Amino acid sequence: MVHFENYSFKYANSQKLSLNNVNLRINKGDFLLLIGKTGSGKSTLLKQLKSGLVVGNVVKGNLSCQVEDKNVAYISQFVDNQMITECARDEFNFILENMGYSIDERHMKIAEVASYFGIIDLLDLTEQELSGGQKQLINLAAALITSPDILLLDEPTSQLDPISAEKLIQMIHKVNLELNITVVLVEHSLERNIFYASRLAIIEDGSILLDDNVNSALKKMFKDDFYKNYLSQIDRAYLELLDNDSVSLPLSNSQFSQVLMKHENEIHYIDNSKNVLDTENVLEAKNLSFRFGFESRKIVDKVSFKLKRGISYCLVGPNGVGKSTLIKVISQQLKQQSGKVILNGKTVKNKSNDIYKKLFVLPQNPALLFIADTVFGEIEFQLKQHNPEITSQQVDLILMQYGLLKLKDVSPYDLSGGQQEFLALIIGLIKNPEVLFLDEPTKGLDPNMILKLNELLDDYLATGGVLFCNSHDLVFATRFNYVSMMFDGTLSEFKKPVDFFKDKFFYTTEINKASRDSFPDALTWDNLKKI
Amino acid sequence: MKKIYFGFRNSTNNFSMLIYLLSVIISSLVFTNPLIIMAIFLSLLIMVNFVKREESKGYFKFSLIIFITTFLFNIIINQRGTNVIFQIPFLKVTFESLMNAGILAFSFVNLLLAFYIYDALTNVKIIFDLISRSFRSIAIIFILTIKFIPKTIEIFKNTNYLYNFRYYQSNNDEAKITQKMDLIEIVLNKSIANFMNVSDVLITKGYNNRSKVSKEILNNISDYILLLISGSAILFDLIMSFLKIGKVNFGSAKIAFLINSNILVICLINVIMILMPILIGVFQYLWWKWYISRTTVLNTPTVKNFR
Repeated sequence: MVHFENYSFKYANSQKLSLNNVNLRINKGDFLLLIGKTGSGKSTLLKQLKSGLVVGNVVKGNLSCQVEDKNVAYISQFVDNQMITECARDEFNFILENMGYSIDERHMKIAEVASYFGIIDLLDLTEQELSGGQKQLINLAAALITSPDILLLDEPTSQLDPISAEKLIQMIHKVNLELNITVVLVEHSLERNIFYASRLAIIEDGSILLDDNVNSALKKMFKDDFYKNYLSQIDRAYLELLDNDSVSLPLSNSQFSQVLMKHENEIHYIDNSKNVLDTENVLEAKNLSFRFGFESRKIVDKVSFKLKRGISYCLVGPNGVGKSTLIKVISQQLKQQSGKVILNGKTVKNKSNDIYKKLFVLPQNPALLFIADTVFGEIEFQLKQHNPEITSQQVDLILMQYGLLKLKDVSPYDLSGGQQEFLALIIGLIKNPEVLFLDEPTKGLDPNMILKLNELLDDYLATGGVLFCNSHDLVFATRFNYVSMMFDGTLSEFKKPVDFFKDKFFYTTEINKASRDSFPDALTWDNLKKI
Repeated sequence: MKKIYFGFRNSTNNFSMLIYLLSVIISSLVFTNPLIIMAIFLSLLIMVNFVKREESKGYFKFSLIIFITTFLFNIIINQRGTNVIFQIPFLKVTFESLMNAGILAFSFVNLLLAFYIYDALTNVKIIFDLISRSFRSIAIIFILTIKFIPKTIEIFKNTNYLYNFRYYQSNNDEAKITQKMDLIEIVLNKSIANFMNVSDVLITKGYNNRSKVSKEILNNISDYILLLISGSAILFDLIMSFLKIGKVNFGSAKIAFLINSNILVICLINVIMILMPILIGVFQYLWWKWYISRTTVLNTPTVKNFR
């Protein structure tokens, strides 16, 4: 159906090859999962199949695609701003009109797709009224309404909470199985997705490094120190504990649970949790309440907590419960209707200079922080705030320290989503604020970059910083000192990760779900070790 | 009010709504007689309350600022007239200058209110469909602008705020101005990146292959009534405007406040036209009440009849 043959490609504004000698065949009905590190060329490869999305030149090789462009559907990682019109019904009509469908055909197509995806009730809601999961479901329905042959998905779950992400992936799997639509899914991790894929490919520096069936690919990845971090928590735990070639991967939670029970005596639990010291308060929220309109419900409802020096806090919860709004209220982008924020013992007044000096906010869209034309310019600007005399060599040294030297002349807006996230975080760490607020910092980051991020954040905490983070990544949340859940405007009590997750039935890590009968405290693969 | 609004939206289609909005905008534009302007202003206020949406506070604040600015600017610029109300150095306020300023300020506000109603009653798709029939390239600019302007405002707000966390504030005024200038360039860069995203979305939605779209508009009684009233009002307003009825000698020192039967008829027709959605909504609501009372009350006898 699609065949890349010695295919090389470079962007119009770049000298570097983004795809280098790619050889890849995609067959009808395949569910191909394409992974790779941040900036490896995953999205570039995907976009080759939808002409118009990439501006550049094919340097050599050939791409043969037996499917017409209009029969290739594409879904991006962005959940917002994907609707041109105001509601799903108008959006479906807009797409079908573009494709030249008659009134009757349009009517039937919308009826079909709305029933299939169970979104009849959502057809007339505006983008603001939809949750992240609902928006992405509508984006999926919009992509499939014209009965395409190929569905291209570029990290479609990166902005969704785990439960919405699972639902979306299941729907994509259903589409692949029932409608025989070829699916090419680009992701930076195998968690959740691997169970539905029929093939797995790895792209590295623009070339295909591995292309195999899932079982074989996972076992090969485990033998590679770099790519073993990409494995799902369940498969990683299984391979670390019982490297048995006869079992086919990936394993479901129930399969892994049975394995654990069978080998319970050979495995023991390791507590990796960090010791928490009792330190002084840095920031305190007291009865904070906020709502957007007079008649709206309270997004933040009498929230109180204290943040202590050198401690990290993570907030989890479904999309749209107000986690980002809470950060905006604490950092005074939105003024609370009642309650107060106390920073170092002083009540924060609106537009106080103190909060700008002492806090740093990494927003969900990291590009909002960028102000320079190059990565070098971004780092230089931030360093100059501390030391106006900083030299280019010193900036280069910092870039090298964070592994950004290769990207120094690239525009921050041309970086991949994960690279933008990482750059924004480095900017925050250079500022070295008293309290660092991160809104979904692992979005778009590959597993090795998340490990690097953990190290950087540990260093920051060691210097006495306070970390407050919103995340959908529950494995990432287990690395924090305290975790809480937000729902209906209120926060649950901040608890240590083990205490927080072990009494959760649905909203917990896959390892915890699978091992709750034998090792109830285990949250991640490294909590289980062979005796 | 919500039930009446729902009754109106449910019984009219997009085409008749557009003709109605065109009529409202024309009526806000063509007359300068103070009585007509005030009648239109009050009707528009009722309609604004009828279609009221969330987040409209900012719009009204903006309208009030426009009103005050226009009024004061006219009072200062146009000091003609003989009936002096009061005089201070460099400023003579006369009955005529007050009238001129009031007419212009209320005309502006009427136009703003008309566009508020237009904004509340239409959606992107309707306008896009109309434009794309004949002007494909304008339609795409329309779509991009519709997405671009609010997004740019949002980017400006967020960037302006987040910039504070990166920049160590200076108390120097010159530095603050330079910061603001830099900020505008930064926002423009970000907006352009966002603009490219919207164009990508358009490509994925097949806009580059858009073919001629066939549309069939189905009218019901409310549509015919709205079309008839709005169409007649457009025709009537344009004829009156051509005959210079309902207009005053705006800007001059001899401006007069005229009331006669013609003016009263113009007022009446325009008030009825502007308030038509409420009348339709009330009619629909009453009809529904009557319908429900009939169907529920007659249930048992109907069953008996069948037996």
